[in-house]
Amino acid sequence: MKKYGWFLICFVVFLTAFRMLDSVLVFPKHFPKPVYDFKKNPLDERKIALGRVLFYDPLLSSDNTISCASCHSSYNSFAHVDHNLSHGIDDQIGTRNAPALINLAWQKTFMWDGAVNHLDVQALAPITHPKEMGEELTHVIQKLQQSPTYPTLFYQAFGDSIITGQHVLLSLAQFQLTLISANSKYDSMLVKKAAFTPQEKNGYALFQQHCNTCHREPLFSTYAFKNNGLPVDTTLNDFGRWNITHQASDSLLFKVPTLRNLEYSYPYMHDGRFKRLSDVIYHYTNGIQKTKTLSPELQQPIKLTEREKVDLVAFLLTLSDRNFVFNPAFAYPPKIVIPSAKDQ
Amino acid sequence: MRTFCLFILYCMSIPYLNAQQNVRISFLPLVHSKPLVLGTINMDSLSHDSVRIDAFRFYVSNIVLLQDDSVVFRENTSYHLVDLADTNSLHLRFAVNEQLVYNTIQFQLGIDSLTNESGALGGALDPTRGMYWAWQSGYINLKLEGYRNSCPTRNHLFEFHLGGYRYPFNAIQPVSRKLPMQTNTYTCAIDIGTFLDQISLAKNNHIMSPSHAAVNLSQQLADLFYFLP
Ligand code: HEC
Ligand code: HEC
Repeated sequence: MKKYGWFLICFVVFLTAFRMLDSVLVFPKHFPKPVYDFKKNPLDERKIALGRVLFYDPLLSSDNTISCASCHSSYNSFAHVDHNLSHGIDDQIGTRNAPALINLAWQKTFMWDGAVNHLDVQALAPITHPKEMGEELTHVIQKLQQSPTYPTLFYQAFGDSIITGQHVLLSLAQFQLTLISANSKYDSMLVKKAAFTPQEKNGYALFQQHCNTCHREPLFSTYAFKNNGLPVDTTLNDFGRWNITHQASDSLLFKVPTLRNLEYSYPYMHDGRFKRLSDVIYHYTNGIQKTKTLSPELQQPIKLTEREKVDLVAFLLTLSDRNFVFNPAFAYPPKIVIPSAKDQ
Repeated sequence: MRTFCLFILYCMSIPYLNAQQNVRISFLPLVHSKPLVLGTINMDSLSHDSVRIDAFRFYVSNIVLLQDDSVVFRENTSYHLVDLADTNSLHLRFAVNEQLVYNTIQFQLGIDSLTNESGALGGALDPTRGMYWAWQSGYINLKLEGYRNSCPTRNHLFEFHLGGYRYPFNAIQPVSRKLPMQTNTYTCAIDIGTFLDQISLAKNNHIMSPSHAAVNLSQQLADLFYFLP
């Protein structure tokens, strides 16, 4: 009996551990294993909730006007609606388009050029960027520490009401890790809960033929750095990955973005130069600029009939995940818990 | 029952078997052989050039003690931020076994690449310590900021934020020194005056990101640490 008792205890411990992870990190069987190391920052409901409040709180910016959500709106798959270049404090304009924040647990590097090597430390970049939030992490922490509610929220999440940079960053990462989009028509089709129309089917085949090597299923990206033939915008002179490595072979390489939720995350590319998906397709068929670092996959011209272009777009739209965009767990948190919200 | 008694005896003897002693390493920054005091002007009688240091802070990590060439002690979670503005931080302490015999100390000047890619860390590595680059992930291994009369910049200021963990700009530097005598309290000096004499402030006076220059200057600084007899 004694033996079984131990076994039972172990089993119960195992079950509860499993359920906790399960309830917050839900992803389908056709997804690979996440690359984020959850052992170092195990998901916890209270940390996620705290991260969500921080994500929506303009206190993180120097003049308390801009929150993460100002540029990453849930209704746009956490991209910046209508802005080709990001828009920060004092109406300043940045140099890049804010990407959609989805399935970040599967990503190794962050930003269009991979400047950031870990999701945990990503938030330091917008907080301190003079054209985004223009703040200092130490000052953010002072403001949080002085607020009537944050010390309690941090105590609940980390067992310590003394707020540290590490705890701010870990909770922001936790909330963002839960932003999993895996509930599109494409996903339903894979598990045979939905069927593609003939047009979508044809678009899918064209996608697999021309796009899948870089925008690989089921995440619709390899997250590798590639040159997809965009001509340089000489008002920005952004050389992408080269900015980080200073290697000639990295000139004009940008991180391949996911194609999930394109319907909500316009405009497109690192500088938001294209407003419509048809503009993007036109780029791939007619606009590829041949430079030294153009990816081999795009050396041969992609030829598509007008009908095929429409089919390809129809397929791309099967990657829209309405449940994700309208998921109340990702939206603006209830007012009572946002300590520094003015009049939202 | 007998095994139980033996076990208790063993437990009671643990403190005696593993008696610990403290090793203390104190860093002593100098300018032309005089103790470096932040924010004060040091005249160099030889060159008639004046130097003022406004900030000097660096990471010391992965402390190891060796007897000849074999490792006899490795500090756990060995990360220290040494900051001249915080006198306490100049003294590193760690416990070793009382019986330990060693004649060499090794440490890294800076933070290794694995740690650099480990996300948000706490304590000495918390990003609020002012030693983390935000726009491009990575720790700053060493900050040296100040004034030198001969520095050809506006207000004669120089500013070195040295770091970078990726090839080919990996700036972390190993420091390995034979110890004069095993005493358990050591003073490790570094003369910033010598460093400024060695480099050309006309060529390098403002480094804020990983580069070849950052690697070279880091190496020159690492070579200048020495233990006082
Ligand atoms: C002023 C607009 C703005 C604000 C505010 C902002 N971001 Fe961003 N975000 C961007 C832009 C632009 C990029 C792309 C930057 C680049 O590639 O250099 C980006 C990139 C990211 C990425 C990387 C995504 C990827 O796929 O590589 C994450 C994660 C992110 N932001 C999270 C946040 C968080 C968390 C906050 C709040 C602390 C925040 N952002 C605040 C505009 C903003
Ligand atoms: C060689 C790899 C490669 C191939 C092949 C490729 N892409 Fe891309 N794609 C990229 C890269 C890299 C970017 C980001 C470029 C930038 O912003 O500078 C991108 C961006 C996009 C975007 C913008 C997404 C956003 O959120 O801004 C869309 C849409 C897109 N590609 C669709 C396609 C389609 C459709 C195909 C097939 C016809 C295709 N791609 C083939 C590498 C590729």
